[in-house]
Amino acid sequence: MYDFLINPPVRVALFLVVLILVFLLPWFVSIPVVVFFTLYLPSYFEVLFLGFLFDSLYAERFSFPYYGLTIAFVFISITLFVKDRIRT
Amino acid sequence: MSYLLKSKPKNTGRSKFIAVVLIYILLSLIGFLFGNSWRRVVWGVARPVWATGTFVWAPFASIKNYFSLKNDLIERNLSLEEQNATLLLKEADYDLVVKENENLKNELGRQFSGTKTISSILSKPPRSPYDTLVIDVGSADNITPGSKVYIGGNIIVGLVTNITPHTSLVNLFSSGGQKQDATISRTGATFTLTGNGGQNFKVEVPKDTDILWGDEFLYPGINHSIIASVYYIDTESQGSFKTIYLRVPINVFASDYVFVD
Repeated sequence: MYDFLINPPVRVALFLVVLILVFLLPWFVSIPVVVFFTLYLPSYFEVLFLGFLFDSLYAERFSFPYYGLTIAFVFISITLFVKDRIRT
Repeated sequence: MSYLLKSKPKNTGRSKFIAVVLIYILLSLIGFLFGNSWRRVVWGVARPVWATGTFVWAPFASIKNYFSLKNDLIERNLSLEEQNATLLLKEADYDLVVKENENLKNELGRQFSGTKTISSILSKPPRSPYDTLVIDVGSADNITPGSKVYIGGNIIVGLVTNITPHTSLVNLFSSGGQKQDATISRTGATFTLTGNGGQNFKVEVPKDTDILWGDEFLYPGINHSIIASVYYIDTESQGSFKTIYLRVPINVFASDYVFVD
C-alpha cells in the first residue's frame, strides 16, 4: 500500500483528491486527511500549498503571516525532524 | 586486518528542510506580491467547484430528516406553530412601526436607503475553519470593502473585507476575538461584544447592569439592524462581573443568500 501511494502518478491523483476535499468538505474532515498524509507519506510538501490555499480561500486577513501556511510549515518541519530521527 | 571505511550516511533531512523553507518563502512572496490577483484566480477556480458541490449535495440535504424520531417531530411542530402565532401578532405591529420610523427619518432629513444587493453564499463554515463567508458579488456589482451584509432583512452579520470583480469575502462579527460595538435596543446602553465563533458573542459587564434574557443588541447607526440577542446570562461567578452570552437570532450557516448594502 505504501509503495503504491508513493508512486508519482498516484501521488498526483491523491493531491487532486485532497484539493477537492479542501474545496468541498468541512475543515474538520479535510484537515485530518492532510495531517494523515503528511505523517504517512514521505516529504509531503503539498501540505504547504494546501495551508496557503486555506488562507487564500477563507482567511479574512490575507497578509503575512499566513496562518494556514505558517502552521503547515511548522507541522511539516516537526514531522521531517522526527521522521529523520526515528527511521533506521 | 583492514576494515572497510564506514561511509558517512547522507544527510537528506537538511536538504528537505531547506526545500520546505524555500517553498514557504516562495508562497509568502506570491501572497505578498500578487495577493489580490492570486485570490481572484483561486476563487475563480473554486466557484465552479462549489457550485457543482452544492448541486450534487442538494438532493441529499434532507436525508437526515428521515432519521428524526416521530415524537421529536411532533414536539417541534407544536413549538413552531406556537412561535408562528406569536410572530403573526408581532407582524401586525411591525409594519406600523417601520412606517412611523421612515416618516420620522424623513422629517429629520434622513432619507431611507433601502437598496440591497442579493447574493448567494458560495462557501461558509464549517467548510471554512475561519468565520467567513464567500459570496458571489464583487466590485462589478458596486460592492466595496466595508459594505454591510445582512441576512433576513434586518439582521446584520458582518462586513465585506476583500473583494474581486465577482466574489467577496465577508468577515462575520462573531469571528473569534472580533470586537464590535453594539447598543441594547431596550435601554440604549452601548457595549463592546467579543466574537466567540460560530455565531456566538459574549460580553462581560458589572453584575448590576440592566441586561435581560432576550435583549437585542443593535449595530450602531440610524438603521436599526440586529447583531445578536441574549440567550444566557452567567451570574454564578464569585466576582463582581457577569458574562452575557449572545447569539445571532437566525442560523447564518443554514442560509443560502445574503443581502449586501
